[in-house]
Amino acid sequence: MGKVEIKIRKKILTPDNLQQYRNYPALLKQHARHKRYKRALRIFLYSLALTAFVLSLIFISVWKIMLDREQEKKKQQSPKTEQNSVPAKTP
Amino acid sequence: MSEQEIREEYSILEKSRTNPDAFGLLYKKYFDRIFSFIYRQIDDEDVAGDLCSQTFLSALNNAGKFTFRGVPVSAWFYKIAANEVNRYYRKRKRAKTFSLEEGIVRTLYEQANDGWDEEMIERLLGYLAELPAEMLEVLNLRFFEDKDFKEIAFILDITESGAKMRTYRALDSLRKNFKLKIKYDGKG
Repeated sequence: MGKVEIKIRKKILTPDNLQQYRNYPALLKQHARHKRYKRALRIFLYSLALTAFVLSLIFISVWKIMLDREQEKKKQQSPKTEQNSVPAKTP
Repeated sequence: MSEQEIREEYSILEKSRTNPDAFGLLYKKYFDRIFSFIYRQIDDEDVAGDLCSQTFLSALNNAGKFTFRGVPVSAWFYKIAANEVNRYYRKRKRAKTFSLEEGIVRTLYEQANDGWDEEMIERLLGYLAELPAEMLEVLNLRFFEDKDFKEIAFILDITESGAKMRTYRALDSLRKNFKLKIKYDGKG
C-alpha cells in the first residue's frame, strides 16, 4: 500500500456547486461568538489574577500582624525573665 | 500578483480586525480556491466545506496576528487550510487521499507528451502514490494551485530553496520514469 491514495476525478467544482458551502453570515456569527468567549475568558482571568493579588495582600498583612503580636509577646515576656533570672556569680 | 495588490489585500485584512464585514471581500475572492485545495486532499465535499469554513474562521479570528511578509494573504489561507487538512488526518489516523482533476492531469501530461495514454496515466498515479506526502504537497501547490516557490515555502513552513529542492527531486524522478518534459517551474 502506498503512502497516499491517488484518485483521478472527472467532477469539476464550479462556483454554482460551491454556493451551498458558502455562508459568510454564519462565519460572522461564529466569529462574534469567538470574540465574546475570548472577552469572557479575559475578564475571568483578570478577575482571577486580581483575586489572587488581593488574597496575597490579605495573607501578607495577617502574617505581619501575627508577627508583630509575637514580637510584642516576646517583649512583654523578656522583662519578667530578666527579673526571675539568677545573676551569675562573679569570681 | 503585484506588490501593490498584496498590500491592498493586507490592508483589507487589517481593516477586518476592527470591522469583520471587510473580511467578506477576501472570503468571496478565495473561497473557491481554498475549497478546491482542501477538496483535492480530502475527496469529500461536506468535509471540505467544513474545513474550508474553519479555515476562514481561523483566519478571521487571528487577523490581528498576521504580519506582512511579502506573500499574498491567500498564502496564509492556504497555510491554515493545509494545517486543517493535516489535523483532520491526524485525528482519523488514515492514509492521505489526493483526488486530482482529470482535466488538469490531462493538460499537464499532454503539454509534455503527444497524447493521453490511459495506461501511462495509471502507472503515473501508482508512482505518485508511492511519493512521500510532503513531495505531493509541493507538486499540488506548484502545478494545481500555480503557486510560486516563495509562497510554497511560506505555506509549508520551509525555506524557498527547500521548496525548489523538493519540487526538483519529485520532477526529476518523474522525468526519469515517465519521460515527462515538464520543467520544475511548471512549463513544458
